[in-house]
Amino acid sequence: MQAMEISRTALDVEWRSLELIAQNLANANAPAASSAEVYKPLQLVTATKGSFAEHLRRGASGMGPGDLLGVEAAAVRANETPPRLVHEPGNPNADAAGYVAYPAVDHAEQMTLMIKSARTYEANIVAMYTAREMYSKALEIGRRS
Amino acid sequence: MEAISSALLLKALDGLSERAVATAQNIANAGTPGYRPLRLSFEGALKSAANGGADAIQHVAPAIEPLAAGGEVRPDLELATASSTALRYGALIEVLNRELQLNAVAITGNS
Repeated sequence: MQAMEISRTALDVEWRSLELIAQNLANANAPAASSAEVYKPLQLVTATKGSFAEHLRRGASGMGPGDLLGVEAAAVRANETPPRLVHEPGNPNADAAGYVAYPAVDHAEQMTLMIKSARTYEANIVAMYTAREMYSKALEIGRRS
Repeated sequence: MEAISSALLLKALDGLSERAVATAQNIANAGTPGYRPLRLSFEGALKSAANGGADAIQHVAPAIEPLAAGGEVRPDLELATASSTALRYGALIEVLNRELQLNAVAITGNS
């Protein structure tokens, strides 16, 4: 069942990536008084699961199928791009000079990431289904037709 | 039934199921930066071991190697590999079942 476990880790990672994208889009228009307290877009950093030291010890050629553990969410990284400053003197969030800070959420980038995540999610569902087919076929060994 | 043909079948089933694991790993890491897709090979080794008898077949182990640097995961190709692996696995299980049925006939005398 290892192949299905691996696909499962990827479903988890892609789901969390989609959650962060939704969070970014939801906060895209949340203004703040200063650049310091404005929302920063978040992005998930993914990495191959498994201990790095272990991989180094074995070397790439000594890898066995038991060492394949899928993927994991390594970190959530905040995008440090400076916020958009908009001159809106009437806004209650405006500072002394009349500027409001909006998060530096790039809509096009977020949509691209979203489509990529959704496609990867689908691919993993298909991979999981294919593995399931193989396992159920293996249950037919020795069956009388 | 020749012992060698069922030994070959079992080794091929092992190899294919490990290839399914490697393919799942590649698809799972499709979005991981710097990931190098893994390739699993056993057919060549199995073919040359087939001439060496059952003992040589026992010692065949699949080799997993990452693609050269710069190769990135192509989810479409990986899914094609996954699906052909599953089909070949199913076909081999059919062959194994036929063998087992032949053995059953030999034991019971088709009574």
